[in-house]
Amino acid sequence: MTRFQIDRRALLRGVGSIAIALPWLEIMADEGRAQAQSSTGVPLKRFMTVYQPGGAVRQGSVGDKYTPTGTETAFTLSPVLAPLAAYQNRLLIVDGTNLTCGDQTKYGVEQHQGGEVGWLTGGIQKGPLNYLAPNTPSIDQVLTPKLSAGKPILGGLQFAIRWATGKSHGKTSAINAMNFDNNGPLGPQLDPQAIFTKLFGSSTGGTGTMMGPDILTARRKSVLDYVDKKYAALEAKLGAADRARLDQHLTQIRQLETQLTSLSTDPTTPSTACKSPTKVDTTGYNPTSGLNSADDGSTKDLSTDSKIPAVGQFMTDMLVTALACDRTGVASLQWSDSEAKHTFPWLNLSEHHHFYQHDGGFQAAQCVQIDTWYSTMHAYLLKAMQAVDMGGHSLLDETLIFFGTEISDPPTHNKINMPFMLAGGDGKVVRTNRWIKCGGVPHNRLLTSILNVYGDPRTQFGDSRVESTPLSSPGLT
Amino acid sequence: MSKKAVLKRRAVQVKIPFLARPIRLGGKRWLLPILLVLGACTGEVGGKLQPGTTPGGGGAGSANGSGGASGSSAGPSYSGASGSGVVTVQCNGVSPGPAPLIRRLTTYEYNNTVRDLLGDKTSPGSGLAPQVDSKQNTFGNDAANQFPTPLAIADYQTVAESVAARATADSTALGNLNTCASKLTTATEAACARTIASSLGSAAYRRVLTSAEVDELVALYTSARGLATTVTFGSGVAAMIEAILQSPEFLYRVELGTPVPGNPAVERVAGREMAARLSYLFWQTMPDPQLFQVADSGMLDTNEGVQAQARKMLDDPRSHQMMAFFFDNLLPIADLNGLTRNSTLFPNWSSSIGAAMRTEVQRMLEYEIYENTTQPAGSPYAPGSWQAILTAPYTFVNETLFNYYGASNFAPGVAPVKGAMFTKVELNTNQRLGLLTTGGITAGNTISDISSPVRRGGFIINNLMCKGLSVPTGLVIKPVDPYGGKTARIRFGFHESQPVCASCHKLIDPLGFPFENYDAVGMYRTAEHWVDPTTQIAYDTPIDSSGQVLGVSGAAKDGIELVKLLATSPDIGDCFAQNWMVFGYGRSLALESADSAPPADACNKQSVAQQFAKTGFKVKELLLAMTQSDGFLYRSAQ
Repeated sequence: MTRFQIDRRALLRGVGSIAIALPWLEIMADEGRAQAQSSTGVPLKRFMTVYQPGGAVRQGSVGDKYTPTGTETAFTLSPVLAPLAAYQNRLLIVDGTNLTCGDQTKYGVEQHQGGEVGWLTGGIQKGPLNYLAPNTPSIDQVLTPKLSAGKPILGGLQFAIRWATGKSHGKTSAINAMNFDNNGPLGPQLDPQAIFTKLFGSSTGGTGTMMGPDILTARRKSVLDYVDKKYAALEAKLGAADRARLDQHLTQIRQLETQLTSLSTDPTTPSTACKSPTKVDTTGYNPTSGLNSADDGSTKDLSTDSKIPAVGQFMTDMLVTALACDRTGVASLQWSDSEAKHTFPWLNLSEHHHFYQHDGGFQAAQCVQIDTWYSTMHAYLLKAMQAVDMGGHSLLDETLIFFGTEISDPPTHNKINMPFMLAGGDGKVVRTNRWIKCGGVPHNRLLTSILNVYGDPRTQFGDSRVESTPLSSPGLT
Repeated sequence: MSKKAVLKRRAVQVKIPFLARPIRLGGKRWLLPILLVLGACTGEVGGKLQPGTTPGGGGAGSANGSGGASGSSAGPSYSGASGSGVVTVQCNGVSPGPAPLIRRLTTYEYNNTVRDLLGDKTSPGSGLAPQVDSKQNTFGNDAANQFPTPLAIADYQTVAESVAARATADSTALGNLNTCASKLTTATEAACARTIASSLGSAAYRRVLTSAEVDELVALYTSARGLATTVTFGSGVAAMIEAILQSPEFLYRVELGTPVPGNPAVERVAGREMAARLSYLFWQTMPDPQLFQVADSGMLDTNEGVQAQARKMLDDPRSHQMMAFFFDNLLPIADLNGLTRNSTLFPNWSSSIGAAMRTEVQRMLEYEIYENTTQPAGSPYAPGSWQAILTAPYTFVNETLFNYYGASNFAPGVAPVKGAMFTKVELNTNQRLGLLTTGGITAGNTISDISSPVRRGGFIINNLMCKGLSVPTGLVIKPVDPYGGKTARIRFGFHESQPVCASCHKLIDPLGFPFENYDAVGMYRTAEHWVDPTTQIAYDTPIDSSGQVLGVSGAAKDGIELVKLLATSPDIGDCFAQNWMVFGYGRSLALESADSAPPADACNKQSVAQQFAKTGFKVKELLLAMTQSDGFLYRSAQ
């Protein structure tokens, strides 16, 4: 897509919007002038992580269908990434990092689990059947105090689609958990209808109205006030470990109390960006289908599976709006989980993703088909973000999105040369429109660099056993 | 509390075949020797992960690797000689293992508890986000992994509100809470609210509330009533219920412990705290008023009292739901109604057959554990024992399932079962014997339409022998080509030809091949039907179902002989005890230590496993033995 098209779209939006901050002529300015106008770039105010299962097809019967060709700044997208072509100038494709913290041989972690819990934390799974050591947060949670400050949902929103599909049986497990605060895994929200009601009230959305506050009564407050006191009182009687556990619980109770207050009063002056999305009918989609899953994916839920594209777009719309409305500053979208034991009826694929990766023998063509579809969904997200006018620039300009997965190579599950990608920003804070090759360094270095672009000055991140200094040249900036 | 019980010290010195292999003593790590042999072959094989076994080789250490009572003067001490084949474990003093973390109700316990507290039979816990339970242990009840995530805590609020709304929906509902609410007047409302606060609060928090605590709840009632003109008595009561259901003493099982004179490292779990331990172990729900009475009388403060009460509770019908829950999680039967099979290959398979097979297994387990008093002719195993389950010459079927299996599966002369009732029938023991040959287990351990010897063998070696094997690292795992040979043994033959595969699969596959006599839908067969994908020629090749059991000498010619051999393996009883302890303690077991110190749960494991063996491996006796272990009677101080 050329810059002109973007600006034209912005103009069309601008005409209908009186809240736009910049004069329309500036929005219409040509690319060179727009850059000159803000040489420092639009600050990154939001952060999002997007997960898709199962690595990328760089080898196998169909050859490499993932890796771009060309040079760092002049490259052609591969077939798998082709759906993102319209946003190539917003992409920074990061090749050549290894998910070292998930290395089974080195650290005795489990093959999916080690990658799943490690890709955003840089942490090493504490051993089979375990998560991570305490105080191993994921980068979204590291950024949340800064990016969510003053917003009602401090810890960010984590949504997942068709999640916990195999032997985790619908429950949180190291095989499906990727966002961590200091205490442990945050489970994602799964039910699109419940999410809609929580965020946008009982309206059907799409009316251009403000997000409705959650139903707040003084009664809820007094109930929580009682509960709060009970936790505080009991803590005093307990041993250190129990006290710490209850204190984590109490922190969440207090977070609920804060949310009640701020959701009922905020925002007083909605920007035009803050419109509830159209409510989508998701009948037939069972958000907790994972509860009925079989270890090996032999239980199929075709009704739910066929709704994945519609639900995925709906979830995306809600996340985008929540970010635009300053409900929170960090968001996470998880497509399935590392087991990926669901089918793809809309692609005419009747076995599950993990079957094509591994269980049924590596079937590269089918994996390519699935991965390419994920790219269309990523493009949908970028498009939705670009369509939101934050006053002279788009939501995408203010947001960096980290796309990732838990393994590199589907059949071997190895974690060499991870298919990672950053997208968003206005191209200045993070220099996008590039394909960089990092030369086989631990991906913890990438995580440190991501934190750095948000102004977090640290020079190391994740488990200390893994090298994690910021990426040197080529880097993100 | 009886001082005698508290001060009682055990000085038991026993020799047990600890994992049937010598354990390296004085080394840096306690490793299961089998894992030394296997090298990279640790962790997970196809089937469910094994709770409580943290395989070695990880280097990252286990969550409960050490700590607990070890290091205290009263901790267990170890002595013994390496290489003798047994480890002498000397357990002096009280050794409860690692300090347990406060336990939150699982979704299942939440459902049962709300049912018993408020008569709400809607299983409201299903409205909690599923990730309220962590799937890090097989039973979803590992306290260490019950993280209070933002979502879980928000959901407790939402669910509490809907439960409270139902409990106060109309005068009938209110009357069920307390009779005082069925004939209310303006004058009696306040007193009635107080009555409800007191009775409900005490039951929910599992202790008697002080009058100041009742005041707090009544204040909540009063303020909720006063909020708006439409607010009623019921909505004031609802506010109290919402608060109670989100309170720590309802959601968590609080244990403050009782000091043990002279031993600050441990605390006795007594009184109502013990009542809750017993109730959630045996009934998966809150204690009832009778149990509180027993607790308040001091009867749960002695080992003997705990055992006597445990026996009563195990004999109570309420324990059956717990038993079913345990086996639903240990065995691959909970999802049977969801198994999909190719309807051309398996026209008789259906979701309802799957559901019936689950009932078959559940009913068979229930009968053997609770009802059977007869030792089958020629069987060395006591009625009600784990080995009797593994070698039971009978099963339970209804008419549908009888017809599905066909008469030849049953003993000659067995009358066809009629009706929907599950009825005990003798098996044709040339075709089936015991739990592992049931349709439910053989179909449940099968991937799609092809039987899977690796899955079946892996299930036995990990879930029933606790060996904790896993897919090795750095290998390209090439799954078996379903068209690659006429029988499973031919298809999986490459395991033997590849040394790197053979190191593990020579242990796994021989446990799986004997079950090749049962197809992907649990039907008995003697030949495998296979169609050559190129020529479309069909073959029916006789199945070679021979195999053997890791650690047991002798060979089995089929599944029948294999389950008989398996029943003689010391690992079978040992692992079964371990699974129950993981479930019963609600935490992973510390059976490895990072140094030469004894693992923190060694004495617990030993006392339970030993008593289990002594009582002829009877399942009920195992549960009772668990209530007599230090890990159940005591807790290590935090």
